[in-house]
Order: sequence, then structure tokens, then C-alpha cells
Amino acid sequence: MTMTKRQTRGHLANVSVVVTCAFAFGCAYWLAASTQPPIPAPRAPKTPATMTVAANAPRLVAKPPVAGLVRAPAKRRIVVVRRSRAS
Amino acid sequence: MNTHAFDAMGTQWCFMSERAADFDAAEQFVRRCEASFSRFSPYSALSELNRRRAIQDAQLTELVEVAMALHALTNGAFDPTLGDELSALGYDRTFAPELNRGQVSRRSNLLVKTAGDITELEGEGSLDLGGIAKGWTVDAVAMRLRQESGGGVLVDGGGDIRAIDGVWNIGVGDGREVILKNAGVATSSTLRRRWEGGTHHIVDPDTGQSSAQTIDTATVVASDATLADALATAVIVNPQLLSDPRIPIQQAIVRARDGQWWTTPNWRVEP
Repeated sequence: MTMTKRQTRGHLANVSVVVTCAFAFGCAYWLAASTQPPIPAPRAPKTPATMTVAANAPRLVAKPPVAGLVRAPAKRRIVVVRRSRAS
Repeated sequence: MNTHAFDAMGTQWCFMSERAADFDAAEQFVRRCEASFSRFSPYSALSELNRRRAIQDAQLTELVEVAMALHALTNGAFDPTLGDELSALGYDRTFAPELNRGQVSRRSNLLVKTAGDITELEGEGSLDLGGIAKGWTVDAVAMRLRQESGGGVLVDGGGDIRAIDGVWNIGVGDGREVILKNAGVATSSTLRRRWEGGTHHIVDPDTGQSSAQTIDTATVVASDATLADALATAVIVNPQLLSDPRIPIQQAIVRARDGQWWTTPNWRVEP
């Protein structure tokens, strides 16, 4: 199969259009990739502000009215026969 | 359980006995004690002593001796010689919140002498046996009921409580409790018998004024109700007594003025 000179010119023109388009597309892709800002790394979860405050705040320790006393035990629900009260 | 309730000494009384006992006779004994020890009745033995400066009365003399012994034990924090100071504060009759206040005198210099069944007073001032008279009466009635019934008894005179035999759950503080076995418990507080302006009935002997210490309520467990009553008052006047090894407090629970409750380290709620 032989092509005529005219046909050969038409093929070359098509190839040059394809190559030019491919080159242009590749350049555009390269340019876009090189100028895009980096994807940010995932952030560490924030520590709740209240935890930071509690950790840094001074502890309030109740002081007994007399040295040697200890905190009264928790209340309980029990049946008492009488109650000692000031009168 | 046998029980008997009535009003006397300006408060509510309750007898509890595992076995039958003569509650009526015991109530009459309480009423005789009230008639004898009251500072508010001009006909009481105590009023006669304060007025005439001497009296022959075995029961009153016994109570005065106990009171003066506790006065010495607490280094004056419990002071039965402040009758005049209490009257000056307005506490000259059965408690009423609208009483007027007068001038407050300085610390009493009253000298109390006892010999046999005779009590004599020297110097200015008068005796007030208010709280300790109640505790002493509670103890006396409890021993009497125990002797009669032969079983466990509990006597409650307005919060001064004595238990003999048996195990008794007693409410104290703000919703707490203590197990009482052969012991007494009493509570004193500056939050009761209080007049406008913050004046109350617990007098600091050093100032002659209402006590202004760090504790406003004290419940003390001791060997009997007489001791518990006197010590509960004394620790309000001088809270340092709570850590004094000479003071025979078995256990104590106190309320600081900020509303927090504290106990002695040996506080226990189990028998």
C-alpha cells in the first residue's frame, strides 16, 4: 500500500497536532502540580481547655479547724433510734 | 421496746428500755431535778444558792462538785460560774429569741466551796448548771432505769443521751450516726439559743462574750452524758481540747464555721 504525497502530508499534520497537544497538556499538568499548596497533615485532637486549667490550677485543700481532725465520713441512710442535737 | 416521752427542762425527753420499767417515777425524778437545778425558777435550790450564797443540799452539792471538776479538767473552757454573764447577755429566763441584751460583765471571779452536802459561794457572780444539769439528770435516770429493769436502756434528754447495755444507733451531725454502747453523747452548738446580731448562749470565759471560735457545733461521745455535755461545750470555747490527750473524749464530730464536718481520727460508726 503506497500513500500519495498528499496523504502523507495529511498524516504528518495529524501527528504534529497530537504531539503538540500532548506536550501542552503535560506542561500544564506539571505547572499545576508544582504550584499547588501542600495538603495539610491531620491535626492532633485539641486537649479540652478545662483539663489544662485543672492541671495547672492550685488544689484547694480544706483545712481542719484543729490539727489532727479528719473529714467526716459520708452520710448513710440508716435507721437511728434517737438523735443527739443541740437544745 | 418500751418507750416514754415527755417535755421537761425546756426540751423533749425520751426513755427507751428493753424491759418494763417505772417510767412515771423516772419522769418525776426528772421534774424534781428541774425544780432544783433551774436558774430560771426563783424557788429552785440553785437560785437559793445564788441568792443566799450558801445551801445545804446533797444532790445540788454533788452536781456542783462534778461541774467544778470539769471546770478544772478543761482548764476553764467549761465554766459553770458564768450565770451573771449569761443573764447579762439576755439569757435570764427560758429561751426566747426576742430577749433584750444588757451589759456584759468580765470573767467571773466566783469562788465555789463544797463540804459534805453544803455549797458556798464567795465573790461576785452566780452559778449556771444548765447543760451539765441535764446531762447529770440523764445519767441518773439511765442508771435508775437500768437497775430497775435489768435490761438495756437509753435516756435522751433533749439530745444529751446515755446508753447502758445494748447497741444503739444515734444520729449525729448532718445525717451521720454513731454506735453508742455504754456511753454518753451530747451536742452543743452556737447555732441554737441564738439572738439577733449573732449573740448566743455559749460564753467564752476569757471575754465574757459569746464564743467566736472556729467550731460552731460539737458532738462528743464520752463515758457518760454529764461528761459529754460539758466537753461538747468546752470544745466550742477551746477547740484545741480535741487534740489534748488529757481530755477523755472517746470520739467527736464537729462542724467548722464554713459548714464542713470533721471528726477525731478514731471516729467509727460500727460497734
